[in-house]
Amino acid sequence: MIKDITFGQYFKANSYIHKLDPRAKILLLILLIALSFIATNFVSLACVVFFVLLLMFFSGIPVRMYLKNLKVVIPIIIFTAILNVFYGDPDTLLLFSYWKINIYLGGVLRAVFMAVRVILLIVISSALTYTTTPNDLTDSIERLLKPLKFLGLGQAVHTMSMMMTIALRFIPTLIEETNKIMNAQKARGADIESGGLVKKVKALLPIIIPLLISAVRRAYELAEAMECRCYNGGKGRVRMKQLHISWRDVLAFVITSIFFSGVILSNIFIQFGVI
Amino acid sequence: MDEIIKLNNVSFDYESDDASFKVLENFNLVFERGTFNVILGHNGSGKSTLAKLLNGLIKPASGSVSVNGLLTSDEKNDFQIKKTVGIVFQNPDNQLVSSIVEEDVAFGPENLGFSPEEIRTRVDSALKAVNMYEHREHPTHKLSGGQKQRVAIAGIIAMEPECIVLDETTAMLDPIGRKEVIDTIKCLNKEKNITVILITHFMEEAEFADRVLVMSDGEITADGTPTDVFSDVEKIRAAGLDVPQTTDLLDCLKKQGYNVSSSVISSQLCVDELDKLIKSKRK
Amino acid sequence: MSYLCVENLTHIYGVGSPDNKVAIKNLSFSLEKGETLGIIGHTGSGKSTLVNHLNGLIKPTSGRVVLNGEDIWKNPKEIKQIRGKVGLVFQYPEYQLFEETVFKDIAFGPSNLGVSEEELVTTVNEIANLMHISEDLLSKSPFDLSGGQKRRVAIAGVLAMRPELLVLDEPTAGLDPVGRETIFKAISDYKQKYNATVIIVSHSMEDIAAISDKVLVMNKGEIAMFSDTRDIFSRSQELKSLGLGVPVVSEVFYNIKKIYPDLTASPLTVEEAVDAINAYIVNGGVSND
Repeated sequence: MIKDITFGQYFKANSYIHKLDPRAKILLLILLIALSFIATNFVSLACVVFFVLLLMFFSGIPVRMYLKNLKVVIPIIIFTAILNVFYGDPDTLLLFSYWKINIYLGGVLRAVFMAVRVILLIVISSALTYTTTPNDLTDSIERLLKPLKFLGLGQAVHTMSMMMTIALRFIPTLIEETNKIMNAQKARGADIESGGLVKKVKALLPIIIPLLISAVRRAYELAEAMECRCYNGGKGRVRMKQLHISWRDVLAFVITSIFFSGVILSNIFIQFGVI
Repeated sequence: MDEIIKLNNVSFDYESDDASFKVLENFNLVFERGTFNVILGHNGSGKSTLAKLLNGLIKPASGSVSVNGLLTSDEKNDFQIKKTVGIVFQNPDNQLVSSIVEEDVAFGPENLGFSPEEIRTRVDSALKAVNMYEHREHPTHKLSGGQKQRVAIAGIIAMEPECIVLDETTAMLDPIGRKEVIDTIKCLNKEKNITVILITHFMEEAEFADRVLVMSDGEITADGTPTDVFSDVEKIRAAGLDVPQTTDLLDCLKKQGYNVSSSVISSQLCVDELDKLIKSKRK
Repeated sequence: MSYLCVENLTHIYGVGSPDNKVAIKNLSFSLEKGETLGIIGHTGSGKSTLVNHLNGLIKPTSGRVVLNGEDIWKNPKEIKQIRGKVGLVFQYPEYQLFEETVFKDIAFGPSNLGVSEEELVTTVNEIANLMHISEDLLSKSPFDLSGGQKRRVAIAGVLAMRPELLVLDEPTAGLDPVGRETIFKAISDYKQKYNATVIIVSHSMEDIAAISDKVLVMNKGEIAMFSDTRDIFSRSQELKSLGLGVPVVSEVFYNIKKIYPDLTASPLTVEEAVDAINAYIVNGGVSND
């Protein structure tokens, strides 16, 4: 069950996207997501879809890896699509009417747009996490937020990124531990799977309490180990891996900007399938 | 003699909710530079407290601990002392900070603020020293216990310490992992002349030490070469420790009136000793 | 028919996925009631997977575990009852403690099995006594105990279900000699009192030699050797080729016998070794073993 979580999983490969500076990747991701929400007609949306397909191709990640992440959100996509279909714009063409249910063209369009946008969102963020190591991610978030130093938030930014690093490091450890404790309690006759909600929540206590206690113990021991390695809250810390902006990043920004202006222009001049 | 760590009249109390009790009282001890020291003691003998006192992770309630003449009680010396004396702990899962091997090893030197090139050099050489260089880009959670502990040792080595304290570092490992770790630190002691203080309750790890200390209830009850210390089987038992089967066997024979030396740990020396005994009886 | 029969047991993790892994392959062995079996082998040799099958924590991919003549998966709904019959103590079991008091924690297993309130009190007291957990500890929080005490409470939590087959994975890992002694003594007391069968997984050849009747050697998911203890540890070359050791005394005797081929004893413990040497010397070089 918990083993299926693939979010934040790095997929080792040597693609163009892998080689991009992680900071550039994060900024491009934000840009792309913005783009998919800015696109308000079918042509511009098609542009974005095309661009994301290119991204998938150049990421060197097998398509099934993307599908794996999409599978998880299918219920959400269907749910939002259905909602959109029924709450369509009554000023548009009425496609279907039965009893109190009216389906308008605007609603169908909106449903398609939303579904495509959610899919794009998942694919884009998967592309980021598959091609960037968790450490590079946290590290570049810290660097991108560096300007906050001038607001007196430098320490907070460092602390947050350290917490993310440690959290990522301990996720596999805690998953393994959860399985171990679960097995140990099952061996003592604990019933975890069956029963009503109250019974289920109660049945979780024998797992959650030992897990919490061990997490506290781990935190304490880790803090001592970090202290032994001269950690003092990140003052004077220099990173081994320095990040460099290269021609690849510049090229990626140029291409994205072209698409970005393309989408804006088609938004203005094309009126087909607008919502 | 060249002292690296000196404990002078150290006392330390352990405070719990409703009581405090003395772990160490007027404790004196000196470690010589470049030596391989093994501290043996049962659970709760105060050996972990001792370990944490050695690099100022905890400070003595009274008395003093000094490293290369610097007092651990002086906060100014904090970095210098922790850089000089590194500790590797018991649980392999609770001392690695980063999910990637080389990034974890870099943690110490990064904190010390070296240049990125210098950090890279130190990380590579530390990983080579513990024989984990090929694993440098691997995720830490996929390693075996012995490998994790070697990465932890590399994390300390990368700060180029003069002394490494291993606090029960082998306790949670299987025999293969234990051998990997012991071989690694033996090599660090020989080749880099790093002072080793190995805290353990596995007797066989004491075989190669220059000096063995037995700790019981906050006191050193035996101190000497492995041969000296293991010759007194009763004292070791009294400290709540195991006696190696070889030593035990020869000691039993000795008690039955045979002329054998019981201060033997290795199985080969035990065979030699038994051979001598049988030969002498045959004449 | 033997008390416990493991028949052609195979387990594959991730069946059907491309990265599946065969953890154990075609294991078959049997054990009589009241016997003690030691299991040795490297980390990753399949010991844990085997052990998790014995009380139905994992289901075999193929093959069966037969207890008292019945397949434990005959009625999947009754698997909880099997978990009461086959007590499984994991490595570092103190990490499973969670109740407010030691008493409640020990009582968790039996109360899951539906043991009545009054019976619980008797059972917990009896097992606590057996595990050398003094009465004043029963009302304390398990988190305030020392390491050795926590371990004993955790094991008591399994014993309180009164399993007829007790399986322990490295029950003494990380303990000092006194702690180890206490636990081995308690296990043997339990075995005596309830006529239980015991399976112990350990890396310590000395411990295995001292307590097991039979030894099962696992290697790469298969049974490499299975025989009675003395036989296993007299085959030190075979064990060495698997990267495993023998108890130090057995090793010493293996080498001394190279010098004195007429010395035939194969001692497993220090006491046996002393007797063997004594006998050999007294009889003027002829071992009477």
